[in-house]
Amino acid sequence: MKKIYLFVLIFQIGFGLSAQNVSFTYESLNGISVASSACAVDMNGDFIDDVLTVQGTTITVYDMSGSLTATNEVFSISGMWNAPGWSIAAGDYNDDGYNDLLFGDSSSASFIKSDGDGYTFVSFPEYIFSQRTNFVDIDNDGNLDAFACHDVDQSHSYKNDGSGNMVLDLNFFPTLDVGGNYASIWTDYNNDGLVDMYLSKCRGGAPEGDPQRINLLYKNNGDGTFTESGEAANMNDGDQSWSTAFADFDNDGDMDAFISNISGTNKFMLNNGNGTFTNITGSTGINANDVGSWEVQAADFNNDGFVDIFSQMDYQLYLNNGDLTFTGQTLSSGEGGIGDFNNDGFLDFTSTNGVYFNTGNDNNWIKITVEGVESNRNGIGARIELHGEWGTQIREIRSGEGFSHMNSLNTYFGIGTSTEIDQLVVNWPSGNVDIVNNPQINETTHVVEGASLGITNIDFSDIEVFPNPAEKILTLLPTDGTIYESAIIYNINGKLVAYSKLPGKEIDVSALSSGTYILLVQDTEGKYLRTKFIKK
Amino acid sequence: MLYLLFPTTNFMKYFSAKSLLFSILIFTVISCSSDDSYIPIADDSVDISPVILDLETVPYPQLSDYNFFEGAIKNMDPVFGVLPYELGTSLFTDYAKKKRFLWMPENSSAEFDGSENILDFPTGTVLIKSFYYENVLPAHESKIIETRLMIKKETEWIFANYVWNEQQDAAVLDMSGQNIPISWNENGETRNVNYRIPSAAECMVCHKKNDVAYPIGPKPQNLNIEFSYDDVEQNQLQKLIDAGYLTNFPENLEETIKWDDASADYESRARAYLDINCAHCHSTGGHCDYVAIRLNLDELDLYNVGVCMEPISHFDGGPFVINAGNADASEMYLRMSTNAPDAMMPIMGRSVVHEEGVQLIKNWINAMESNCE
Repeated sequence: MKKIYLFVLIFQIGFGLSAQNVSFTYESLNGISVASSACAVDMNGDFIDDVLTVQGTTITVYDMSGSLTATNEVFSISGMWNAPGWSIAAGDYNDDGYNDLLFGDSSSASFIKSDGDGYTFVSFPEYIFSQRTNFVDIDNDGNLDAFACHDVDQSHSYKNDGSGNMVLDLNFFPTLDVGGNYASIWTDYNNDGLVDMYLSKCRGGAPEGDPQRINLLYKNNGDGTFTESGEAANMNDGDQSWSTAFADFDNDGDMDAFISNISGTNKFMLNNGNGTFTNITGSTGINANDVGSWEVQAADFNNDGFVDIFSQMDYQLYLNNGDLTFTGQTLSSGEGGIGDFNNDGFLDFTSTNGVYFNTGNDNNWIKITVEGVESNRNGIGARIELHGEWGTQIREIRSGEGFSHMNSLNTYFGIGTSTEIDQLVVNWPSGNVDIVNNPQINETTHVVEGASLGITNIDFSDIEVFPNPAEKILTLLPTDGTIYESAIIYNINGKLVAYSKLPGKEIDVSALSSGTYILLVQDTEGKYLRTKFIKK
Repeated sequence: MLYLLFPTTNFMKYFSAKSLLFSILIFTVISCSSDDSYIPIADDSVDISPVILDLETVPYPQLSDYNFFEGAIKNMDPVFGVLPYELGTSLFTDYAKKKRFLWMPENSSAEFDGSENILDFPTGTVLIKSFYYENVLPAHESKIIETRLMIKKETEWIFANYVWNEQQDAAVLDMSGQNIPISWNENGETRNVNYRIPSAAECMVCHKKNDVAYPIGPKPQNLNIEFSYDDVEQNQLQKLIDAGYLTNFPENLEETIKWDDASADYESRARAYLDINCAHCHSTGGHCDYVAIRLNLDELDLYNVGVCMEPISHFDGGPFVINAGNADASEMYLRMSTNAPDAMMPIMGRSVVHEEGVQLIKNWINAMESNCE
């Protein structure tokens, strides 16, 4: 950890302490108004973010295809009576290569299933005053499930039956049987590789301490169950929250949180690295008393390598100075759904009446697109790491951010003036890990789950092991003071067979059957080294 | 011969036959004098209301189980003890018409608890409100959609919603909520709504104060109007006293201005409208109490009502909640004029814009001197 902090310090000195301002140019979408639940996700499978709008029984997809001039395609959806009135989420829950949608409306939640040519409306009759909706693989079976916050009653969870059908089952992800559920953000807050959930809650008129207004943190137990752990984590805020942004604001390898409140004060909660958080709002330069923002999200708009805060506060942008302080910048345009519509590596956004294109700067960047195989196709729930001279940056692929929006499912990192990336790591929800060494900057890297482990790619040897073939104990070389954090073992078919939380140098392989294996070991900076070995 | 002065039999429901003669005599006296003081009769032989209410077992499965009405239930003819009433200004619910009644157990009465608070009702009180449309298409019939009860138990009010059947001869308890599409003809124009019958949880969004269930309508000022009891006009609060349902109310109590009273000024009408349509959430302890505006009638500071107040968070086109002199750039007006779920106000209880109500708010705001900056 100390090493990482040192990197942060160097980075700051290198680039100065004040963050670069961001500017946007506006372009209308032929006069069509975007629902305030903005959708900035690729809908046609080209991995370039589109803008999606809903009007009555039609959906319009503005295919940006990397150019500034949008072409649109209008889909008429038979029987659609629902709209994304309160929120929208996207994800390929029927696993056909095209993103489907989830509309959170004021009396129902509905799915809009794509097949690449058009859409089918799948409604549920059960009343729900929807707030934030998400696609997420709740039980980690490789299929996307769904969740919808309920303003006035217990929230709804939907289990994917594996054939692309959602089954409403409140016991699938059982939350408290009370209302006040505003925004669910699915994030791995304790770095155990499992996606947890933070629930922002608000209930006007409810007295202090009422469970309808106390934010909850559901820790994933890894067996399909979750345990509310907010008190231990210091995250049971009760100031009336509409949404919370999770990001690694200080690039120390864990998810921090910015809680946007409607009353009381906003809270910047620094992740202590041990599953607990500390309120450091007072030292961040963010106005804790500027309450009332429904929306809050995090993204690196100036590609300086530090994630900024995007909201409806008086400063719509709080630019990250890189030292856990922020500089406010007002935007006349408000906020919206975030994506890179012109594919220039700088994040744009879409809000009520058009698209705001980021004019960019000279900073370098990388865009990562993924395709899950064992995991859900979108890789929702994946943790992506980018290693380089800055240390480590992390992102998570999430469906449903802020209070209402659906942001890009692609992953964008800014790397400032750095010109080289050491390693890109994709930690899939399945437990699989894919590695790309030295990916190109200012380009897109596409990662298919397991592809970096495939038989054609195993001619790598980043680390030596002894003995090889091994019977019982495999020792990592060299035998100097180098420490490794963890080891992952795949079989020759790319199937994960063992995981060992070291730290250390020796791995017990006696339980493995005979054959050739791929070994990934993670060093203390989070980078992976790969080799193959033979079990006798 | 005197009986002919009271030709309708319905009158009998409110006063027992035995007390009628005395009432008539009193009526004769007060008709000829300016003395409005009226002392309720303590008469042991007063009829007993046939309403059936056991607080241990309510809510009953059927509306008819309470025996609130006699004859065909769809006529909603109240039995003895069930008093009809209206509100000076009532809440907009997708143009539904409403019939309201209240009932209290024998020998119990409500207390006046300040002009801005609902009456302090005794345990066992039932507030009854039926929602219906006239000229419902295709047959141009009246159709009752639902009857909502609020029943005051020992410690809390409970909700009970009864959904009417197609035959309009029964209404069944249903707390799960549902949508009913309705088309009807109003003044020669066809209107359509997807009427929402609320679930228990939805009821609680508006009907609460500090998260405790609470009626909204029966504030003394809002009841302080004349009502035609079978063609006999009488002040409703006085009527409650006469029926033994209210102990007293102050003589100088103000009367809520009717929102659609064209002879009244915009401000009084708009404030009455906001009070009944918005203040249950936009007041201390209400669902939206974290938003600074206070829309209850007794809020005297117009800034707190929203005049020149900045919205809690950015609202497109509305730099002020009420932009004095400019309704089109007022968050309040814009929210009331839209059906977009995340922008519309109120957030529930309507699926269409109340054109006439919104016009009133527009006129009120536009008539203000512009002074927001």
